[in-house]
Amino acid sequence: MGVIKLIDTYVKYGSPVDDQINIVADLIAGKKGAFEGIIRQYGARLLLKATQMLGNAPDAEECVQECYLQVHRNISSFRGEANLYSWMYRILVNACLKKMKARAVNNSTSIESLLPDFDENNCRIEPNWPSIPSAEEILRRNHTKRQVLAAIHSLPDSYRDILYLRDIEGYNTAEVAQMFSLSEGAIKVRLHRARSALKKILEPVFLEGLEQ
Amino acid sequence: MIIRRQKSQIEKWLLKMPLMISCRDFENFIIQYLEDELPWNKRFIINTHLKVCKECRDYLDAYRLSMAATKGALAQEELPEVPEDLVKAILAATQNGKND
Repeated sequence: MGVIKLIDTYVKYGSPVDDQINIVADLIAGKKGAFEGIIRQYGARLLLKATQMLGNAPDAEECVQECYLQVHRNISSFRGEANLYSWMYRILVNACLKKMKARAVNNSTSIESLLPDFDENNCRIEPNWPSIPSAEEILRRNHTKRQVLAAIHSLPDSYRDILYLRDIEGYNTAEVAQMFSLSEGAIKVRLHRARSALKKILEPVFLEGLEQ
Repeated sequence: MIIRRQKSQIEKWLLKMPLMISCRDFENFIIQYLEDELPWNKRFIINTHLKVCKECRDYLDAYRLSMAATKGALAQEELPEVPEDLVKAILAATQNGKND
């Protein structure tokens, strides 16, 4: 029944990926090895995304496992309008957000000290930048990539995840607002604070090697 | 430090002129500015501030740089190995789900 529904969907919308119809049909039919196949095929990408969102491997693995369990339970409702990986990725994001909300109680890291500084005349206090290097130049330097990744992981969860979903994964403000049950205005404020904090954490890295 | 103080005094004086805003005011409009959501008159005011304020120009450039470096660093991350234990745990959990 599930396969017929899937084929109907493909007739209606067209198959997004040639091999996908076979993979999904095998999954729905419970064909031996099919489920392990999608773990081997997409597991590494999903694990990387979850680690980038959550900042640590144990939580990321737990969310990847939860994602696959949801996929196993709901594969017959996969309608095929989206690519299979995109559908799984959306499930993973929800699992990560759930995990992030659960641990938010213990996450009291303040972002205030990482916000921009102003003097008594509301004039910005900024380091002396002799020039601003390009991102390519920064990432070519030894160890810089690791420092940038560490900086992202040092942000408080709720800020890092908004920054990650908006700036890296390309969700729009309305979509992120819906995921976090916040207003679009609140998402923009947090996004700006996250970017500002990241900039401040990375300043010493960016300034390294520039002639003062 | 002395130059900074003088600059701050100049900015305080400039703020008395029409269409001038403080760095702190500029801060409140950065997101809308970057996303092109400001009406032309506000955009003009922000651009005027950026012309006279090196700190905010540098700040904005470094802000954009950190966004680009973050995107670049995450995009260059290598795919991890999926631990075999995790694969087994997922398969075992799906089997348990079937048996429930």
